[in-house]
Amino acid sequence: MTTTPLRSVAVYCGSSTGLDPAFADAAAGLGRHLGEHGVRLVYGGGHVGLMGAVADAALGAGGEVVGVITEALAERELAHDHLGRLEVVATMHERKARMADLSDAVIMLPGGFGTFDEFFEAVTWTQLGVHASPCGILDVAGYFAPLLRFLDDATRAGSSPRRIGR
Amino acid sequence: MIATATDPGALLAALGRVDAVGDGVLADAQR
Repeated sequence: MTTTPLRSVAVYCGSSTGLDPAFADAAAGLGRHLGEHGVRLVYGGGHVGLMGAVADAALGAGGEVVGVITEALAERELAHDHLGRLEVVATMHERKARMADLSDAVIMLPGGFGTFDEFFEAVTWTQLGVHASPCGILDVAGYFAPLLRFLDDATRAGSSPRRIGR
Repeated sequence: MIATATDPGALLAALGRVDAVGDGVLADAQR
């Protein structure tokens, strides 16, 4: 095991808030924690949903926030207007690669297919040694419990890496 | 490789301890 101070964390989460208010509370709590501890937030650049909640809280706590958004989403006026830095890229592939380049750890909050895709691509890159970012899930109100059970099942089936620390 | 927690501070602490390089390690911070 290694202990490395985190300086920049990529957060993947939904562009909606979901139905449970706990999701937005958790997003804000994470953003606030990052800001208060001087850890840069790298995220999808939106101002709506959980993305907006995590960014607003980080900014409110005095944190550095970098958004990476696609041209298509920016044209739909979904970009956050008050970030210290907003990078606009052409494709979702470029967005994921840029967010990985800018961060040294990855966190997933509740979200949908886009969030899942982004997070598990980052996990795969870690597994393959494409990058060395540790990956974590903030399990809000049991949202990820079924997924974590499935990951355990996949491990038991011999299809996914072993777990430790439990 | 995947840490889990219900609290942001616990999760960030776990990520700082996770060795992300190697044979694919899944850690669990708070279960």
